[in-house]
Amino acid sequence: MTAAIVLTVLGLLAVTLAAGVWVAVSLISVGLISLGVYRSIPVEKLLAQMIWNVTTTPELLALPMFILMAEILFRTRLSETLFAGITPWTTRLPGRLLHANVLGCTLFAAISGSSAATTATVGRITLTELFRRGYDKDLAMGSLAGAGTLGLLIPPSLVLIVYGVLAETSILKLFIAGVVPGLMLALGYMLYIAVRTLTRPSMASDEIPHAPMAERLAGLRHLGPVVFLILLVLGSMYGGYASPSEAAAVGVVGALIVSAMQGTLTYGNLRQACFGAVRTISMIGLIVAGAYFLSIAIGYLGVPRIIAGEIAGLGLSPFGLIMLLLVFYAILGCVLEGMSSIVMTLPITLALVTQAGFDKVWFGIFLVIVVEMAQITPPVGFNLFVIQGMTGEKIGRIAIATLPFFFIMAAMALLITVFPDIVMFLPDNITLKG
Amino acid sequence: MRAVLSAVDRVSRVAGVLAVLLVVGIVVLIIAEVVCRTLFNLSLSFAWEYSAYFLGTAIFLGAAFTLRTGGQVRVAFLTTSRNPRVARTSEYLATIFGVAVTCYLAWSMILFAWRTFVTGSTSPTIDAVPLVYPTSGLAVGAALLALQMIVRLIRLLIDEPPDDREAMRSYSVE
Repeated sequence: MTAAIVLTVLGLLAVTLAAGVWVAVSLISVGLISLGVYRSIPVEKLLAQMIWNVTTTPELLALPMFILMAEILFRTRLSETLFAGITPWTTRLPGRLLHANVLGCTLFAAISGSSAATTATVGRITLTELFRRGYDKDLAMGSLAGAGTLGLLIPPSLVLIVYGVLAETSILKLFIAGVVPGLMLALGYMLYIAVRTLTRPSMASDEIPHAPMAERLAGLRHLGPVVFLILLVLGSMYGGYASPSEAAAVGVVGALIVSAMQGTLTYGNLRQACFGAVRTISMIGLIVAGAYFLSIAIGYLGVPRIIAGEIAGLGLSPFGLIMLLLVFYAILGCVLEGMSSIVMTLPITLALVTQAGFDKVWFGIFLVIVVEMAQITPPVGFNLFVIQGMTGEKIGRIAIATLPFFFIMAAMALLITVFPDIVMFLPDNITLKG
Repeated sequence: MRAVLSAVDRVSRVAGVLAVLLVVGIVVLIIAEVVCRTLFNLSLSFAWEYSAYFLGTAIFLGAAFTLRTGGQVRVAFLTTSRNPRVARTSEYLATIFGVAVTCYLAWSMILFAWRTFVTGSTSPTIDAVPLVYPTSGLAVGAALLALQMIVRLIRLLIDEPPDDREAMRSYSVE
């Protein structure tokens, strides 16, 4: 009987998703069907109540505003100014302008919560420039796809907001915990670029004159708008002045100011940004609603308990459990978009992991790194799609170009498992509002 | 028939515009709350409550428009298969399944709104907001989503493209 329930849930999920049913619809349907078959409770009441509860949670409010902010910024000239400010500092590094991808994404990630938006905004300029100057195409695309995923890990982060709501954990703590692993990943990417281009200098053969210090410092003014927004959003949160939602609202205003100053605040841009934001909000909102309902439904059916029991029977060490999850999510990430794979598995995996003694904040960061990996694994990897849209290259080629960055992320996931303090040091030692 | 289909598209779009206004409303309310708290040391507790209702309503009012413009995520293995028969069959199956589930969802949300109306439920805060307003917003959005899903099925039957490709291009980040 219990095995039948688990098989029904997992089987239905797999079949509906594979058939091309929309993720939110699939999640709701699996909850409905399995409850309808195995329990006699008023399913229709439960569905509406759960969806109402989760879509009107105040904690979720940061989500729509960070999405709107990214949409507004995508339609400014921020990518140009970012590139202009960063490039003079990369001329002495092995790999030169290739580092503009990583540095640009790292900075932009601190004002954007999504990896697709980060990849698209930064890549719009860097890819064109790198291709034009004859840099190695694969390394240019790969480093962009890899670094673009930092949008999820470096706060603000849409995935961490959703995780915080579903796992009932402080979003602010998650936002603090993501900083150090994010910066370490960026450093890892830069090291890889340096090593690759040192061994094969033809990958970055472009000789750019080295700008004198005064000129480089003067160029920093280009970074003004980005630094202004980072101070506004992260500064207000880390300074203890604002909760994540408040910081997001302030960020929207900041984005409007930047857009106005750069002369891109037109009615057309604003309209597109608003509609674009509503599409993303609606999409993520429905998936969160479906996932929440499904988690309640399978909770009633005892599915997480059964699966946890089975896995406990394997006698894995905590480390072994995390390795199992890493492989599981890497496979899942090939066919599912990251946010979906987190929300639909969370009710089961969160129970497993907390039971094994891991912290919820730590697991959130682990999941984000895993989701980052999902963003760049074919056939379904959103960052690959974004780059395909910009370059017209085949998904296969982009995916292979990105593979080294996939392994850097996997190494990072291992590293934080062995040394959890990389994640937990900051949130354990800082107390803040919210 | 085509007139009916495009009428549903127009209604979805209007709901999408309302969703935009609600999102803008959230920003305005939270900014007002921040300003009042920092400048006048005044807490606007209702700002949080209203914003949360705005968010739920925006998610649902925007849902039909998002579906029509191809913004709802799915695994597109089979539906974009090179074999036209596989693609067509799976598109049909997914859409029929979608019609069933979204209709159930709409029915469930409408009954929920109806119950908040007849029992006159109010929110458990000092503002005691009658819950029928936000719950109706969600119900209307859910009903529109179901309607748009039915329209999608009709479009498949009469061999029209189910997604509005042009709108997809102008709104997506890519």
